Amino acid sequence: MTTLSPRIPLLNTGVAGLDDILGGGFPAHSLYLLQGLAGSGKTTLACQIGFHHAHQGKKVLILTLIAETHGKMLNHLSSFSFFDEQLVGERIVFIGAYGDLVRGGLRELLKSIAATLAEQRPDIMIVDGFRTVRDAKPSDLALSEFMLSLNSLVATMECTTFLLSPTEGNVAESENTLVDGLIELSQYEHGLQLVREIKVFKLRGSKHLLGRHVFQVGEDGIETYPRLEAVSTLSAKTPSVFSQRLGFGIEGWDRLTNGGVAKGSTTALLGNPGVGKTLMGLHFIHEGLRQGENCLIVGFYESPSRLLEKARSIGIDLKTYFDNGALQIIWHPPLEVLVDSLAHGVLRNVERRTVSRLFIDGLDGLREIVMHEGRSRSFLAALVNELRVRDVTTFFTQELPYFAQGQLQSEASASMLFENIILLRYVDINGVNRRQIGVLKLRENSYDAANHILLITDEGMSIEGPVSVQPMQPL
Amino acid sequence: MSSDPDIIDANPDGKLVLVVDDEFDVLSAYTMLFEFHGYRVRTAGNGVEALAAAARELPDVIVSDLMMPLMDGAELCLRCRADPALREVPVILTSAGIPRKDLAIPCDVFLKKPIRFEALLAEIQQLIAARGGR
Repeated sequence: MTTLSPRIPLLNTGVAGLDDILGGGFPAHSLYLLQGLAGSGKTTLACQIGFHHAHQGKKVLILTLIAETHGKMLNHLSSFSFFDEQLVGERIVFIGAYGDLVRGGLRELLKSIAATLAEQRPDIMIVDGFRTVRDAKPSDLALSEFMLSLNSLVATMECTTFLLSPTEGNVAESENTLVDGLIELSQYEHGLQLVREIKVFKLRGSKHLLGRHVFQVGEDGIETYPRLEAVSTLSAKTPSVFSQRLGFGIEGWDRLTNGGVAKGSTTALLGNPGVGKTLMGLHFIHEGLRQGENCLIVGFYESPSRLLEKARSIGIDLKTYFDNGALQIIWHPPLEVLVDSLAHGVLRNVERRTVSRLFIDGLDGLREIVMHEGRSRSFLAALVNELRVRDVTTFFTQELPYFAQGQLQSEASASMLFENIILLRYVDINGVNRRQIGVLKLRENSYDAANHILLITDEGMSIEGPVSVQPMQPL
Repeated sequence: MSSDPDIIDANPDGKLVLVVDDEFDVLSAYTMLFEFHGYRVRTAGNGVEALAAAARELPDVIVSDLMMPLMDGAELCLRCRADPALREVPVILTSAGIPRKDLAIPCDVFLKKPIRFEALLAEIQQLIAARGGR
């Protein structure tokens, strides 16, 4: 008597970010429904997975019912970098099965699929235009039997199968209930903008990330971005605690902050337009570079060349570090950039270059590109957490309005995110607008609670002693 | 895909496989795959139905699930071995679980589900060949 006990492996997708969403990949030899309305990207996604495996020597069968012609599909796929003409016909095989459905209904289609699987022995099968089986008007029972048999067939033949259907929603129909996984691609509209989203309704045998995640379709095909909030929630990593204090290279700063901000902490600098927030951030970065650290600036408004020039104008040489790679700048105007893509790029940059200081110039710019309503706060909390666990000391600037009174109230909720909060604003002293800096909050450290005058000269910033004149009115 | 639909029809001269399983989808998948490989196939939903089918037409091999209603695969194996007509028919027992060793089920091969079809096919070919291609 012999005993075999194979374990079902996970099929990685080769699609950036998708395996993380799926909990490692698709459990192999199972039946999946990829659904989404026209143009949602399901054919691209399935074929990208197919080509990824064909490149590794696996065989992929693309079975079409009523769908675009094989020639059109190939033409469309050929614009992606994953496409390889050499694989088509050899490891990527196209077969039309609509005739079987017309001739003998679901039974004949199933027999045809069985014969094809037995003959071709594919590792992956993609059935495009799967909705056609319902269009053939089978009874509910016949359709259920077909789905069950198909599921059993692909499991027996160890062929991971993706059914593509132009439908939406998790409805109680056999195409949805009798598959091992249901993935939906959809689109989210915000004003004139449109964001592509992917959602895993179910995936048997896998611990997938719940909820929606955004993705992009570019020349390399689909790139997904696991929602940072979900990733961060599941992460078991906790931030390290450092006793080390970091300076900003600003005269008087150490006195104000009693030695500087804690390494690995996040600092928000709130201030009116033009008061010097960006310059302070550049000081923070320059000090890190001087200490031999790798640094990163993320900006939304000022281009890299403008930032370098701005630093130079107050005697800070960043260009040398920019040229030798110790400093990198990610710059995106706050227009149609995916915040998930940006965050992914920042975290990847931080990991790849072991960045220890990060300056995000414009928290409002970051908030503006968080398109989903009500997401801003949770997204920022996740981003801050991910930066903390990577031991990055982060400095955010946040713009305050020119003339609003009580403006700090609106920032109260955001302040929970930051360990250190510094306020920089113009005040009227004897008819002269002066820059005033004060610490509102500093984690695990005492600080000088007095307001100080901040000076900006050709040699950079410096902080004078405590203001001891008459109470001043902020502008 | 075969361009000739006749190839998936039952083969009058093919060896007869009796597939016994209480799951409809397993019977359906195995029927189509065995027929594709040139076998004739009969199906039964439990041990009682299997004995009746075997009495009607002697199979060359029986592929049976273990856990089934009315009569399970273990009992079916015992009945086959006790029946002079079926004694020599090889039985492949399959199950998602592993049967207790002390049950000493008299099957020729045990395969744990999920089963690679190629492995099942190879076992069938081997068992039929061992019987001298009766």
